[in-house]
Amino acid sequence: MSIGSSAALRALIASRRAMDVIGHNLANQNTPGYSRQLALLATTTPVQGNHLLRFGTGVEVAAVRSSVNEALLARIRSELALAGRSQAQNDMFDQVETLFADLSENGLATKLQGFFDGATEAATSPEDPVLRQNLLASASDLALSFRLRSSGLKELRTKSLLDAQGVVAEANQLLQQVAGLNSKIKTEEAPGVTANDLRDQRAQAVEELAVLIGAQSTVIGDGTVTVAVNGVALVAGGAANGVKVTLDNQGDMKVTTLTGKLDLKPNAGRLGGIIHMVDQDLKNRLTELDRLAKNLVLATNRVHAKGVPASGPFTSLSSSFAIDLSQVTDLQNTALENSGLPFAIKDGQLSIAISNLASGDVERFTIDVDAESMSVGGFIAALDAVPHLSAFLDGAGKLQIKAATGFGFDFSARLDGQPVEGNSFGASNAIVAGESTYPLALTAGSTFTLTANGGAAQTVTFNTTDFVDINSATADEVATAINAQATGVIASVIDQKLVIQSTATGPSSSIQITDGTGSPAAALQLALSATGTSTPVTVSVTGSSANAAGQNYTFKAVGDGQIGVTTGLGVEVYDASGALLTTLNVGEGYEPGTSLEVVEGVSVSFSAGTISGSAQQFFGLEVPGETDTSDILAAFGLNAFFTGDDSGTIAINSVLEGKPELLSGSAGGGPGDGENFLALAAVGDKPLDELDDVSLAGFYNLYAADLGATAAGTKASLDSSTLVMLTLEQQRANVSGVNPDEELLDLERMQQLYDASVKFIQVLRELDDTLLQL
Amino acid sequence: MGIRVTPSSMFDRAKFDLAASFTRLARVQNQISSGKRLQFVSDDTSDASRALDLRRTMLATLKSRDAVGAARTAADQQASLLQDISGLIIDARARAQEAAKGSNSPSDLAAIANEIDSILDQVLALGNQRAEGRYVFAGSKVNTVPFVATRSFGSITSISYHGDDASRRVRLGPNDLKSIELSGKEAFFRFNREPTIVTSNTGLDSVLGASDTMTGSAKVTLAHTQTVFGDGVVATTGDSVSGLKPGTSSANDTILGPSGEHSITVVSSPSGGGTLQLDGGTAVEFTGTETNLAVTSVSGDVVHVDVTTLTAGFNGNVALTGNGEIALDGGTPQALTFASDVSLQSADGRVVHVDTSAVFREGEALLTFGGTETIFDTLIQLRDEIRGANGFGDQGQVERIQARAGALDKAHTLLLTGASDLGARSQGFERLENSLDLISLSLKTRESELSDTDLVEASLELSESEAAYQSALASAARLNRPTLLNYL
Repeated sequence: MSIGSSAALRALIASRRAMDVIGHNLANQNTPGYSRQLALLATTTPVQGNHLLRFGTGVEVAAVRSSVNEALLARIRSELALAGRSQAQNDMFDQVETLFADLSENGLATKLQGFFDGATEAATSPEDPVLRQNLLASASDLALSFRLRSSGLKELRTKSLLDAQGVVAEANQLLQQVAGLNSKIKTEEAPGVTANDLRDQRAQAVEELAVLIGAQSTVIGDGTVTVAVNGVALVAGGAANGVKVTLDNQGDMKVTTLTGKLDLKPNAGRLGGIIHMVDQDLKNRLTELDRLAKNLVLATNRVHAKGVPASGPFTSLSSSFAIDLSQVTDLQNTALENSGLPFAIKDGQLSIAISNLASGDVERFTIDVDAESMSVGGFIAALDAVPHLSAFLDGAGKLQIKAATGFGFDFSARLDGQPVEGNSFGASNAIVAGESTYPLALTAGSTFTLTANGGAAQTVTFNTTDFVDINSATADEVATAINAQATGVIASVIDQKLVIQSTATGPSSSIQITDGTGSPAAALQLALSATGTSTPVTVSVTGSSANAAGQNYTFKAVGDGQIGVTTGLGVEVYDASGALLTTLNVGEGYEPGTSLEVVEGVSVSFSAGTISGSAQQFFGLEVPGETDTSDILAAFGLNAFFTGDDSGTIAINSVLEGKPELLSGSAGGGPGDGENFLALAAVGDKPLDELDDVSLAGFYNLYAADLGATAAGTKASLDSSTLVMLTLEQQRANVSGVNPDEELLDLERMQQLYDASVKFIQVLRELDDTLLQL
Repeated sequence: MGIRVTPSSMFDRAKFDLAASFTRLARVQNQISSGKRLQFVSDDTSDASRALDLRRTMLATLKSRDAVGAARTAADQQASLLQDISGLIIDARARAQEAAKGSNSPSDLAAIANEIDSILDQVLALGNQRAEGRYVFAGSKVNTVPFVATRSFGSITSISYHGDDASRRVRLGPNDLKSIELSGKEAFFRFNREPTIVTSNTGLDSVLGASDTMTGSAKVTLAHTQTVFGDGVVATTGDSVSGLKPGTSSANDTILGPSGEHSITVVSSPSGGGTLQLDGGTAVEFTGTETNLAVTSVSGDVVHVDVTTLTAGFNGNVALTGNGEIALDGGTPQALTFASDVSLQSADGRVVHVDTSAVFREGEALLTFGGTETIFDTLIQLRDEIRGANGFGDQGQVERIQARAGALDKAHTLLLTGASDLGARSQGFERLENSLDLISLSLKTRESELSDTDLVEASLELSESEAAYQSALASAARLNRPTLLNYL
């Protein structure tokens, strides 16, 4: 065969091969991941002729090359990983936003406002059971809304694990596929050819892995690729290392290789998106929702605990929260701060109002609470020591408080309407009071004589044995010493003052004291003479005052005589520092029973009767402020509105369910008193320390705004990724896509080559025929 | 090398554009059909957050408006009741005027007293009125009957208040609370003391500017105990100059007053007979043997005189001293000193100052402490006054009825003051209600602007979206363009 014939034959073959490649391109123009292939034509090796002539031998298909831009592919894989993450987050945010439905009537903000508005409405007619029930219903609705969102978030986290496991299963198949393709490519390319189609399939699989788990790949010299996530190789050569998803002790997702040795910590791809949502976003949102719910419970219970139900003071009360007796076994040695109660106890004071249910008289007792040094048992003992109260922990660890028969208790800040204690002011008994402050120094063996009710003079001697330290005598010790030696009188300590009162009443009741050796009466600053009266005085206090909250006042009689009659009769009012605030005229011109304002909002009135300044008659008045600065009521859930301590457990106190009359809407005890409902209504707008000086309503607005902003950011990120991907895909299509027009033109060209080659062969045959005819 | 465009990229682009167009179309359609521009906060975080805040404020405002509305209703209810009671008081006033005519027969007075009694019952019923399950005038003790009557033979003798001083308050906003209504004490027991009025023909008077502390009204009894003639040195009370001395019924004398307040003019003959005149009254003849001659003054005062020791031929005036006692509301009497400021004290320690310097006759005095009497007390006392059952005698009944009628005027004023106070509150609440209505409307409008669909804008956008979508569809339909194949 001549060189020409050979060249023609090679051209025929080359053009057919090229047309095959074109046909392959046309066939795969819509195949995902397919990259257009090009048949590269090249001249064959020339032959050496005579006279240094070299003759070409034709053409051949030297190679079939894919049109691929590796840098572009790498960029696409990166973007796919980001898009996968954004898509997963976006899908989940859609569900979270649907769950919260903040812009609907069922939004938590609306429910929260509805609850506080319910309190506002209840305050308009506190005695109305319908309004009370409405408040309970709105509270129940609010609690349910919290729980639904909490369970929804938790369910999303649970479902996300299934999603993640599905993603991982799909990824594991692809990893196997990539490893298999690696092996095939290595084998097929061993002779020096390029396995274009296999490489396309592998690239497609790697891209899917980028979407799923954010995997990136690196081409190795032998044609294989390494697939890795965060530096952890999952495919190396023909070997694949699968991955798995598990939950750790914190409920967080953990993605490791199947052996469990390597932690991938994926932050891209759908898996990265899911993990970010589950371990951070959803978790944080649940945490913040819990924080809101917990502080709603705390703030509401703080107020409700200090109210009084429509039925009046409590005769018994059980805490809503219990001490875990399996954990706290030694109550006497377990500090309050370690009690395990859901809310923290602070150092502060608890003020308890004990009411005489028959007379309405209120006596107030204060317990100092030190969360660190006071034990649980110590607190219960302190409660139990309050007169007319008993307190204990029941078998379930709940604090039980009971009042003695005829008494009630509450934690309200209402004033003691009848503030005189122990007959210290205007009583029918003769009383003498001492002005001294304690402790004070008394002389050992000092004496005074005391005559009670016209009886015989009695000598009272103060011996060292009567005192722990007679140089530092306490009022209680002095009173005990007097009671041990004198009859016809009772010495007691009232508001840190010594008071000696006759056991008799009326005008025949009298006390005369004559100071003796060592002048103890002078040291005690005792009044020396008093007579009883048939016209005792009743002192009444009304009102409440935020301005005077937490203040103590002492009222002292000035002058002796009859209320409303005696000229110059007055009552001096001192503050806690001993400064004289005012002198009330209760003598001539004062109408008995008329209220006289002591401080803004607090008034006192005196009935007709006789008082004595010379006997140093006095009484104290405490204007309660915050009755629980320790939060111990909220910690135990005493008279709680809500129970639970997070968004998943919040609920209205079961004791209140169906019993709206037990709602503590009153601050003073009257059924038509809605002051505590008003205080409840104000809770929503009040900045809370626990929420960094943000109100409950404000906190949720921020919460909803943050959810919206984050969701919008994710959506924007997804939109951006989608656009970028569109551009990148178009760039890839520009490089690797199949254009049928191009292919058809190439086909035409190859067909022409083919035709020309055939023609050339025909010409050669005609030449041969002509030669043979010679 | 120029840009290569492949059919695949064109199809992909078309798919993307179609999806985008369709999404936009669907979004606008959804906005129109739901009426909401914002479905989720993420649709427009800024607007949605503001909308949320506005909605919260709007809900609170609406609730405040409702609460203020309830407060207005409550204030109106109280005002209406006080108006009704005020009408009854006007009726009682008219009856009192009728009773004070002085020409009524006992049966007429009894009938009027019964009418007053009926009015009292009606006032009590209105004071104990309930609205929406609560006693309107009980303060915070809304389940307690505020005014409890003590009755004797069916008639109310006293009424005590069992409510408290509390007044409901309504929350208008954070830290903004306002009182709604009056307690029963404020409505019926509001005191605004006025000068003490003494209704009496004894010469007793009040002391101007004194610090009286008694409330309501009181009865002062001035009783004659002894008449002293002249220097009073004969037999304790007889006159040594004229020889006149108290008659045997001297205890029934009615005069009171210091020496000289009253006098007897003696005209006698040396033979023993003559005439006596008390304060220029009718001359009474005597023979000289009378031991108990009653001498009456023009104003009806009486002195009993023993003329048996009259100095024969004595002519002239003999000064009389009418000693007596004064007692408050049946309390322990104290001797009259005829001082200008005598302090009288009630059993409950309340004080009234009276001027006894002009007292000239025994009798009773009604002391009225204006502005301190409850409406119920006034009606009770008026009724009893008309019935003559107030512990006073017949004398001065008309004056006392008139005094009670004056107290009714005060009560009426008190009621009108209360009603006016409530009316002002109600008007304030109404203005506030309107204001809150406007605020909530404004908030609603703003919230709607932020979250609701602007239908005009949305319709235009829908048209645009439809056009864009149709164009995208048309463009996509033409993607299957002719290729080179068609020409080969």
